[in-house]
Amino acid sequence: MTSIYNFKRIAPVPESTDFLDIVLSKTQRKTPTVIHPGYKITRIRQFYMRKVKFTQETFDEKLRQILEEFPVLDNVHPFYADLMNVLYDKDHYKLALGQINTAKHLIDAVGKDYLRLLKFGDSLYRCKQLKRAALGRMATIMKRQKDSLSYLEQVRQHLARLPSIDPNTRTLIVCGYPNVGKSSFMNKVTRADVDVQPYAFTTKSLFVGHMDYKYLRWQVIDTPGILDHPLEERNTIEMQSITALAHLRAAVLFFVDLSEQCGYSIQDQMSLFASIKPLFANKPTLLVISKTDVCTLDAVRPEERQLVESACDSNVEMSQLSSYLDTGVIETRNLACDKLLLQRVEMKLKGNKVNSVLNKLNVAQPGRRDTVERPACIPTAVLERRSRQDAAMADGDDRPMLERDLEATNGGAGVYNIDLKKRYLLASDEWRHDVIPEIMNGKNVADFIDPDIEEKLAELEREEERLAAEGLYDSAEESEDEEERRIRDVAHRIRQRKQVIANESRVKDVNRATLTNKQKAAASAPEDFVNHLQQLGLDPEAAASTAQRIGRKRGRSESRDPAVLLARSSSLAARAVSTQRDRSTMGLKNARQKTVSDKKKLVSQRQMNLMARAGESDRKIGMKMPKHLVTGKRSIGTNDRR
Amino acid sequence: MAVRAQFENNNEIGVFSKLTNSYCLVAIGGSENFYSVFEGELGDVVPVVHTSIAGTRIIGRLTAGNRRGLLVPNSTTDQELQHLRNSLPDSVAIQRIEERLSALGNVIACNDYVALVHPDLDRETEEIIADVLGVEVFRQTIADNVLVGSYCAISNQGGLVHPRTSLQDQDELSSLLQVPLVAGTVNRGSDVIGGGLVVNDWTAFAGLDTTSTELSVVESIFKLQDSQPSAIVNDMRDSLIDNYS
Repeated sequence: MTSIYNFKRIAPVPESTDFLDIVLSKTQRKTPTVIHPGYKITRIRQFYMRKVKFTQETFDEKLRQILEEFPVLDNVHPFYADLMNVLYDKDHYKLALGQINTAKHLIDAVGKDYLRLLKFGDSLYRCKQLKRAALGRMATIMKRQKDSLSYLEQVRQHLARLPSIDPNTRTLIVCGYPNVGKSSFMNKVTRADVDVQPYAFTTKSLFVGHMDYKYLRWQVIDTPGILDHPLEERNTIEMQSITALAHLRAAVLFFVDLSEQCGYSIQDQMSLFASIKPLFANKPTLLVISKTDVCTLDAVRPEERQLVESACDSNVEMSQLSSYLDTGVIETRNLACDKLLLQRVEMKLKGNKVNSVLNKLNVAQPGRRDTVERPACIPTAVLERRSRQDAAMADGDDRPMLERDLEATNGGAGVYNIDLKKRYLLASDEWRHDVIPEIMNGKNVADFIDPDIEEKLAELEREEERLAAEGLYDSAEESEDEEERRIRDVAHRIRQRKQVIANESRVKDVNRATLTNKQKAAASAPEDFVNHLQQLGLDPEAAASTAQRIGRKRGRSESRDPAVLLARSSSLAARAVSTQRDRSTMGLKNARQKTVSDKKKLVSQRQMNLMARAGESDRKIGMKMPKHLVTGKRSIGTNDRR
Repeated sequence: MAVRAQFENNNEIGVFSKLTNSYCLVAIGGSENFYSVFEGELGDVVPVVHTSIAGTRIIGRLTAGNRRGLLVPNSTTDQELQHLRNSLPDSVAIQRIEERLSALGNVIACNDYVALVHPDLDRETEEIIADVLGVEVFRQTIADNVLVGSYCAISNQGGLVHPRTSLQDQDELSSLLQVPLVAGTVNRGSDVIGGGLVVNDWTAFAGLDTTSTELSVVESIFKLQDSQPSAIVNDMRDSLIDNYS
């Protein structure tokens, strides 16, 4: 349960002198410290302006932090606003924060002024004096905040120690005259350890305890005792109770001590009840008669009894308890909680937020959709175990040894190795820790975990054979008719041809010397042409005779072989011999041109050679000051040995 | 009885455990604390088995099962399968499933009689679920979430569903499952019911963050320790209203 009102996170507020030390030393640490009169005046100005500016910003930041962290009374829950008014005085608190705010503005103004003046500083000395003046004025402003700062620090410390009361949750408030047994009740119902002493005003501030009832978390607030006098005369201690009563929507338990051991008469107590009754409006209220071990309602005088009973009406119920004897304490608590819960639920049901939780309140009961019984399945061992556990609990027997205990006795977590095979359910317990190979004869053992896998496989194979024999698989091919076969044949040829073309082009693309078309033509025989035409399904006769007529020169012999012709072809012969040429003469017409170009080359390289450069682009600088040349003895006043 | 537990500082115990009426699977963790919570409750009644699935600890999300069977994803190794077979009684059928949605615990929510499954589950997987677990299978969503296993916890006695399930959906699911249903949360307001709660017919385990209100809703709806679902409507109504709204 996290409260939004957490005042423990406010940073400590330093004293004004500490404040100055913090800021000035930060300036010293975070800004440059070395300056010389010889520097340019702009640089000197900038150096001091930076110091002033930085100091002002640091002050600003620190003061802003204080202003932001302290709760603004108008923004917190009215309970806390009033409590802080009671404890710290609202005016004082606001004044302190206001003064801090003013100081912040003043420091900002000082900083701004001196920055402007520094722009006209004409020497280091003047600039420095201006800086001193600026920081001094800021310090003076801060010193004036001494009281505000120390007050805020006290408030902070007190705020941090306030109990974290959630103003919106389920709350019981215990109130009444001093010393009537409020804190005793608190100690009974919660685990809070409130100081209980036999004198008045033992409890001087609000205390909070928590308890569980009906699956919910409740907070119980123990308040200091209240005396019966006008509001203006109440002291701070009493006012805290009044604040809690006024602002928290809670159940109120007003304690009355009939035995008058507290030192106040029944009349006094009942008149207090009457006077603060307006605070109980719209709150479930209980008039709690405490210390029944000493005095009960029956034992008091009739007129007093009359007085007490008349206080109870439709809104106020009576309850009796004795914290000493522990009677009626829980009943009182339950009564108060029930009344408060009822009221809260009624309020919430009026709002529309409740619609979103309706499904969490509704148990959907199934309508029967068939006649099947679906009973729960609880092993009898569970019931036996339950009864056995109850018996063991009664006997105070030890619980059974668990894996956790084994772990603890065997070296603890990280050391103990669990035995996964310990509880295997096998035919024989001796097999539990048997080692089973994972791979055997090249086969995964897990694949054969089924004992009749071979049999099943054999059966599957038999079925397959049977199906094959029955001709389940060859029926598909017979359905092919003439047309389909023709299409298939053509498709096959197309595919083959495509493959051939692809291969040819792949061979052609290889990056090497290829025959020119002319050479290819020379190399090809007329028969190839005829073949090609035939392949294309054309009549080669006419074309072939034409080609023969044009292409062939009449020679002496008709029986000349085309291969011989090819070998004699002059263009091919020249290509067959590879020649090596001198590259230096390439691109030059004659020897004269070459001598001229050689000379020009030498001239253009001269500069590079002088500088020991590889070429125009070589800009390397090896070493600027070789150590052996610039160090060493200078007995004769020089180190120039050359 | 409902017990709070935590797996290595994690409250999503439904991720690291699987509980049914005939066995309980628990992830292998750094220490035995988590295992012993289950062992202490179930020890001599049903086997509590340390296991990993596909080498991971998120066994509750990867497996689905009930009294009759256990479904594990395709990624389960042969060794894990053998370990499970050796550890679980013969009455529990174990089946490895080839299913694209391999986090079976997220896509299947089942008790011993009915299973709700992700609408996109394979038809074959659906048949296997019906055969191995012996359940009727319904493709369903819970509060418009397809991960039915993540957003509900069901036993043969009752069921807890996603907190935003509408009253109509609640009635429909309840008549499919034939058990009383209520919407609720676990782990201090978490809507991932399957992640924060594992339950069978006589015990429930919830994350350590579960509040006492949530835990008593669990006890009532699952009829643990002689409490009845009607308690939610009668005794706990005020507390629930005050707590949730």
